[in-house]
Amino acid sequence: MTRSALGALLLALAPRPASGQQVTVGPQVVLSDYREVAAGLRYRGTGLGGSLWARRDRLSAEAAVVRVSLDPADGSAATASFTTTQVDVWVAYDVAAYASVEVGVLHRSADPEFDAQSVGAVRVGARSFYEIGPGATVVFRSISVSASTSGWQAGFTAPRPTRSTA
Amino acid sequence: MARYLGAVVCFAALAVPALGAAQVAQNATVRRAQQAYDNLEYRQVLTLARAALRERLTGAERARAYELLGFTYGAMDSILKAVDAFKQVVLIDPERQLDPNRVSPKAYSAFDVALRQVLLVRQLRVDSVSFVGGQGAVPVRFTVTQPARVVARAIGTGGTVVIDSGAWNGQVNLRWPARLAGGDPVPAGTYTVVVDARLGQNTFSASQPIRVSHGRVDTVPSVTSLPGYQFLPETEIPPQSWRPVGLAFLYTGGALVGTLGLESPTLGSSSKRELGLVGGAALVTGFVMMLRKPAPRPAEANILYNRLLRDQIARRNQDIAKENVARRQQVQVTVAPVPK
Repeated sequence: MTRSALGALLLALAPRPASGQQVTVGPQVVLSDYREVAAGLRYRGTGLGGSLWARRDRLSAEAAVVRVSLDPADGSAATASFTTTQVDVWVAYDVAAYASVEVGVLHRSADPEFDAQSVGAVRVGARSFYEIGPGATVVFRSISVSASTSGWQAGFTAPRPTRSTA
Repeated sequence: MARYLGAVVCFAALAVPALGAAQVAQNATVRRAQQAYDNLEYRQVLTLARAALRERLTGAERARAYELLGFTYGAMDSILKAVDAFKQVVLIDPERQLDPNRVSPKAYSAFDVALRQVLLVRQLRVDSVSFVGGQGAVPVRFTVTQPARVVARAIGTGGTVVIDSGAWNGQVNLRWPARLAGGDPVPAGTYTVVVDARLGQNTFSASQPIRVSHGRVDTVPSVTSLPGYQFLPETEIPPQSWRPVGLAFLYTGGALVGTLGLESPTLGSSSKRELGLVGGAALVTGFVMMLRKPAPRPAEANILYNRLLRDQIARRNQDIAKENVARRQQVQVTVAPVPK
């Protein structure tokens, strides 16, 4: 799926705000700890990103793009820094007032290209979310990633500012 | 003593008509008859009153002269003559009324008998009234002194309208809807309510001018609220609770367990910096949200109540709109008597 096709999909999902529809746009701050099995390559870094989240009734979709600059960690065998860009797209269906199941894809690329692995994956998981106050929602996400290598990944998203249009 | 008291009462009763006569009579003979009556010189009253009646008198003076005769005959126990004199009084002035508390019983009974022996229509009254055409009536009342065939009409610019007719006696109360035969309100203008009474060859008429005017019927304003019912706030602020910080703890704990439980031994222990920072931010946010004034939430019961209230108001305004459409096609009829 190309980025232009993804953008068209998102636009099709939310052609106009309607009753029961919310659209949220927000920045993201990312803290990253990146490791590779071979040769003790360990990186840490921070980055920025943005996300677009839309809901209509029980169906929601989210797209996020983050760009993280990773530097070799203490004791790492790595010598060069690199920057990675990750694009995530999820489609979720609410099964309860505070939980939903979701499927999505991710694509992560590195710059310079061969300084780290690029990954494309399909993800299936569940998400729990709760609005703890005006404009603040805490989200817990558990996903299974199917890619060239498989495994479980637990993620936790901090409370994020929300802006809604009805 | 008893005779003296009776004389005082009689004097008081007979003296009352003299007070009124002094204000009416301009004719010298009538005035002298009045003075003689005041002095209880009854024979002189009879002589002077009869002499006055042979002179040229106004209607009021003539009625006064006959009235003095009636009172005098009454005082002299000549009841039949008193009745005859009072007949002349009511024929001249049909509205003449004696106060039973201020005249002698003999004179009052003679006056009453005289009234019943003469066909009169008295005390014709038309009350002021205003009503929507077709939904009200004009009260008309009068007194007929003998059983007679009576016809009440309204004669005016819009033609002649029969109010009612019948064989009546005594007090008669009519209600005139002020409508033409077709049902339309009578045209605006000045009318005369005429009551004709016929008994054999005797007839008598009484009249009262009235003015009929038309106006627009006031429309009813639409309502924005119902009396006794007020809109309730559709949001309510929930009480503060520890729920935000509790949820932040719960989710942070879940993330901690998930992160530690899924660590791969192949990759070694991961950094806890990210989890610590994000979890700390979540806890701080939860704590702030706990202290913050909670966001208003919809009050479902109030929303339902307001919806019902709005429906009721809308229904009431629909009824008012229909009523106003009808009112704009109606005429407000106002009837007022005109002084003669």
